Amino acid sequence: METLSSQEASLIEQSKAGDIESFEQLIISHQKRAFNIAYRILGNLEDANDATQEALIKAYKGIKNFNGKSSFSTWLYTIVNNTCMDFIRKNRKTKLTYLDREYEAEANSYKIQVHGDKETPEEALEKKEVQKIVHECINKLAYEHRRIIVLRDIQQFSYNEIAEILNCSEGTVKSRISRARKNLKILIQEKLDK
Amino acid sequence: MDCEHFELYASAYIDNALSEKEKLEFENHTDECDYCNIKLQNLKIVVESINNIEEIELPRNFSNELKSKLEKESEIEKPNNIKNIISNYKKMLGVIAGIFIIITSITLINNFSIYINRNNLHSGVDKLGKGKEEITFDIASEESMEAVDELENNDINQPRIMAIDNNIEAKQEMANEESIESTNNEENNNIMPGENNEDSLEYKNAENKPIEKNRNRVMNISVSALIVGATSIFIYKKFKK
Repeated sequence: METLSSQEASLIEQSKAGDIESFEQLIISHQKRAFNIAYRILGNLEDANDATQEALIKAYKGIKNFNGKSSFSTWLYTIVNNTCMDFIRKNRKTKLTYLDREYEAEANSYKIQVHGDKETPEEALEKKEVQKIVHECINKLAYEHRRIIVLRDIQQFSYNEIAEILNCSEGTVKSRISRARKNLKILIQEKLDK
Repeated sequence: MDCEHFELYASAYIDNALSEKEKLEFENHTDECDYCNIKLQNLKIVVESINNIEEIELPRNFSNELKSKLEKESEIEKPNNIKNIISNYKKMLGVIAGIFIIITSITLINNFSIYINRNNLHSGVDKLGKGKEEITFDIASEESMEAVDELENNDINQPRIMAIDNNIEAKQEMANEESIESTNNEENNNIMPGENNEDSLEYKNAENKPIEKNRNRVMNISVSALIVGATSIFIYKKFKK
């Protein structure tokens, strides 16, 4: 788990005093990851943008209460996770409408990082197709399983960090990951069989 | 380790979250069981696919949008700080007022109960006192009537034996006084039970006084504890902020 570096500690103290620039410096290395967590949980860019902005504002307002017991990143991603859950509760009815259209919009509005020159166009396309399938299947998971997949398999948080973010035991994290992966495997299998 | 436990251990094995013993058992099983081995390989492919999902970039206007929201939030917070200070003082005053009302109410209740007890005591004593006066008055009126009758008789019959009459009167007066005294003594004897009652009433009141005192003491301690507790919680919350 990350520990507070002296620079981070200094930025936190200044942010607590209300310094916006210090806060921006503090979150600059975390905001992309926060955005991607929100995107994978919520399933579309627009909601991910709104939820991430809201989470970062909450973090700014609540940083006075940050006591250093956990790492800053864990604390921040807990807020992001909770904000996404609140978002889902508020927008339950509309979440499914995005699934069909989202990938078209995403192709125009964001950039996929291509790894090096060794990849042929065909390989790149295949990769994109696989990612599309995985992305769609993740969106079909229940939210409890979806966020555990996002935190563990996409963001690579440790079991301990996930337990902190989700405020549960490591045993619970283990069993949820097991069930989530099993369900995802079934969904991918069904998708491929079609 | 058997096929039934595969699901339980497979994910943790991929994440390297098994103990050495569990890991060894799992590997031994998958080496022996083709079915579980295939399931493990499939699971690894799925997990790797998810691992390979690429991060997407932030939207173009993300940072500017966030900055303007932070600045807006910062402006809202500044006057809010003054409002918070005022509201905190208001809250404090509210708490103090509440505690004051509680203390006043309990004190009034205490005083009222003491007042009732005193009234009961006085009314008991008053009843006894009133009875004595009535008896004394009755005796006096009877005696005065007798004395008047005596005097009238004397006046009508024997005016020349005034001296003797005077003596007789004096004797009668003395006799009357004695009879009054003896009657009073009788009354005193008769009211002995009453006096006992008064004593018993006083005794009861005396007995009740320690109980009353204890009750008041308990109430006072409760009130003090309540005040201390409420004040402590308020101060703790204020400093915690």
